[in-house]
Amino acid sequence: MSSTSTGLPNLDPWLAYTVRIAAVTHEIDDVSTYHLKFTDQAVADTFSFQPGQFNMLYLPGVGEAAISISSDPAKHAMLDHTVRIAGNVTRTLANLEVGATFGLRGPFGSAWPVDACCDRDVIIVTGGIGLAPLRPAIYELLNRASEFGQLTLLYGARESAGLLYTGEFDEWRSRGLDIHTTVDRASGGWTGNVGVVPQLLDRLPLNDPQNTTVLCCGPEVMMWYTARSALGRGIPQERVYVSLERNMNCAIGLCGHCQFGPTFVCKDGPVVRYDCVADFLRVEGF
Amino acid sequence: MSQASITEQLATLNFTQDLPESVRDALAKIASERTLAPGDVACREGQSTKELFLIVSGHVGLDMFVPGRGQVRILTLRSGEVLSWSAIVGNHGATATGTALDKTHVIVFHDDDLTRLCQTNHHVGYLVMRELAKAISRRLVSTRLQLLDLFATEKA
Amino acid sequence: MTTEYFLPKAALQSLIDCLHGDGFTVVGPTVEQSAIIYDEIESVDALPRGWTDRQEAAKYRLERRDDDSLFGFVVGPHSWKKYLFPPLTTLSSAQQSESGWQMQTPEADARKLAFLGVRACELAAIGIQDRVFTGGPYVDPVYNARRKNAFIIAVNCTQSASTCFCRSMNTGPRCSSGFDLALTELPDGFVIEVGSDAGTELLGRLATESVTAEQLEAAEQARQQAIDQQTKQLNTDSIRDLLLGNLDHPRWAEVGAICLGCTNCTMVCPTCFCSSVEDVADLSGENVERQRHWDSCFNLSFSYMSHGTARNTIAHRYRQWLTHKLASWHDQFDSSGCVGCGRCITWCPVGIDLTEEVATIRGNEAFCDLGTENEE
Repeated sequence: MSSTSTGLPNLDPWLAYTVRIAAVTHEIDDVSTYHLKFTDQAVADTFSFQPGQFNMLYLPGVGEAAISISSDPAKHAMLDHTVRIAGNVTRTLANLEVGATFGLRGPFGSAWPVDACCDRDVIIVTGGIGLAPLRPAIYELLNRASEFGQLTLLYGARESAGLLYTGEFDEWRSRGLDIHTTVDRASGGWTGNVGVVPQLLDRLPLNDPQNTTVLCCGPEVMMWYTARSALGRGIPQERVYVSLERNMNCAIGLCGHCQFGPTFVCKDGPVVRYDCVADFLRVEGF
Repeated sequence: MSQASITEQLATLNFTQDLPESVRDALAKIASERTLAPGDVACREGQSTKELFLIVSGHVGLDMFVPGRGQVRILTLRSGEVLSWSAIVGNHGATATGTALDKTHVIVFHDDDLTRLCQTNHHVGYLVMRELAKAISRRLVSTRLQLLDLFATEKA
Repeated sequence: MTTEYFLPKAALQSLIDCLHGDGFTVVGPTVEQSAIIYDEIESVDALPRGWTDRQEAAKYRLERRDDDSLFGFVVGPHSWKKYLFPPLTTLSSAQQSESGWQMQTPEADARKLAFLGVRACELAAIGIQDRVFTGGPYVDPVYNARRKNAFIIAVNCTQSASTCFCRSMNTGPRCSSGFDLALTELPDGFVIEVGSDAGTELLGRLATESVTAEQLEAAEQARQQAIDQQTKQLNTDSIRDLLLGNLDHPRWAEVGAICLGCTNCTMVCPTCFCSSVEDVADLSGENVERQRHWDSCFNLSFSYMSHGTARNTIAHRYRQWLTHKLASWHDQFDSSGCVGCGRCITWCPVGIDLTEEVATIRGNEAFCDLGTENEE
């Protein structure tokens, strides 16, 4: 019952904190990362999040959008959100300049089960902007790399121009992440792999499937086939995690919008165990 | 290159690992090994192909020619995948060009030998064709996923 | 065993007066636009004296009673959720200043509400919304502020409508908990039970009489009448698995073809809690309020996402409503989301009856109205 159990510094879950845009990194077409700072130092000091959680970004007069946090949970100076222009809020955000303020509520939702991955191999399977909610998990896994087995990233996009954070890949590789990229369509001199992401999982050599965890974020069809591939490779379904997307309006399980069967995606998700939602993923219009 | 080495490799490859040992032995007897250098063409779109390849290591790019766009990469194949199935099931006319992208080790079956083995031993024939059908089915699902263009309207 | 008292009918006004004196706004049933609704009342004269309601699928009519009962009806289109979970609320405000946007929580609503005439099914509905709005990790401050101040005077039903099925849902018709005071109406007064210390305190200030055995017997008979009149049933055996295991049942398409998607069922439902939050700005754009309004899973936009709408057809949305209400609600809140009040049946313009939908999916269409003799 108490609000302290939610991890929110605020007792009122509807009240947004003020954040200021400290910097903007243009990532790819229509996608930028906003580096945010709380204007209230007390909030900055107490705000913490887990990989996979999201915030509601609130542009007064326009509305709110649920955006995953994409920065390193161990670094508190700046809170990053990688945002693709997709609606009114994100379009308005894209027009804001460095120094502009707006509101932020959060952090909300469930997290990638990083601790449960200890002593196991971890395969991150994602596509396009789905890498953004997984980037905090990658940072945390690499920060604590000695606690885990082999760490692998299988990452796909429509075209090579849709691959995010490629500038960081060399560093990630040097810290122990095995990265495989693929594109659906080869273009612009792409010499890397061509084919869909689940195919990368089909062919990935596995040391110990029973002790391998899959973290997956992408379009539902892609997650479904990734999970099928993982299960086909002998990875237990309770070690496959997916991040769901639904219309999140309140972010605190009170408005009903984001329901997916029994799951309130905003507070029970977005990260859920695959076997908890598998029955509903292919039901049309559910 | 020995038949024993081929038998060992067949036991580890996705395409053949689930086959009974006796079937793998029968296949090893008609197989040979080859190493492709980067740029070597294993099969060429539109041309007759009489060899079926199992990729042991390395990568092969599959390209189709599109007027005005040139060679368009359709798929990248890697260890355990089958290449140039047109040699067995497609009137011998390759539907794509397969080019080694790096040093690529393959096991090669000649159409004549493989077809003869399958026709004289229907048990082997059934199992080989079943594996081929599974491989084609996986390739078809992947192609459908590509067609769906899932990242065209991806989430923000 | 709770102690019961008798309050003569003429003394009911003193109950309202005491509540007013304690700073309560008293809300109770009253007749407006040919329906019994809930509104603020000043005196017993506002109560629907001598009126009753006749209800069936898609039909609600007020009729004259042959007595002067004040609570001789069942439930109307309103429920108490409009007071605890207001149809329109301001959740926060934002002001643009020199130093950027500043967000604020509005003043808490300190108004104390007293509900007069809460039925057993409605007590259950309030209990369900308590779990929704205050029982999880996040507490809704608006609901919580109103709820903790509320004084609840329940009234036992002495009749059932053809749409009532509270017995199937184990929510009524007898009021058993969740009230401060509970009344059973007799021709000359009320048998009163006390459910809380606040109830005891208030009752101490009223001119109650000790209750007689005859009055207790008459109250029991009046309440029994509501049980005897109730014929509609909903078979809730394994209902969660039944519905979630039949997501592809052809019935969804059939009911989807009839349903208008009008949202009436969700608006009259005393437990439906779906809402949307939107920004309302002044002309300068520098003063903005975040306003929450009731929404419905029957609205197409409700499941909108940037790359498509999750539930595109009315059949999808009816299935969402019914499977949430009767099935996944159990996973979320450890109970059904339905209290058997029958409002969704009465106020559906095309007369869709959820008990019939469930019976059809169960493959037993005759079950929903077998009469009480087949129960238990």
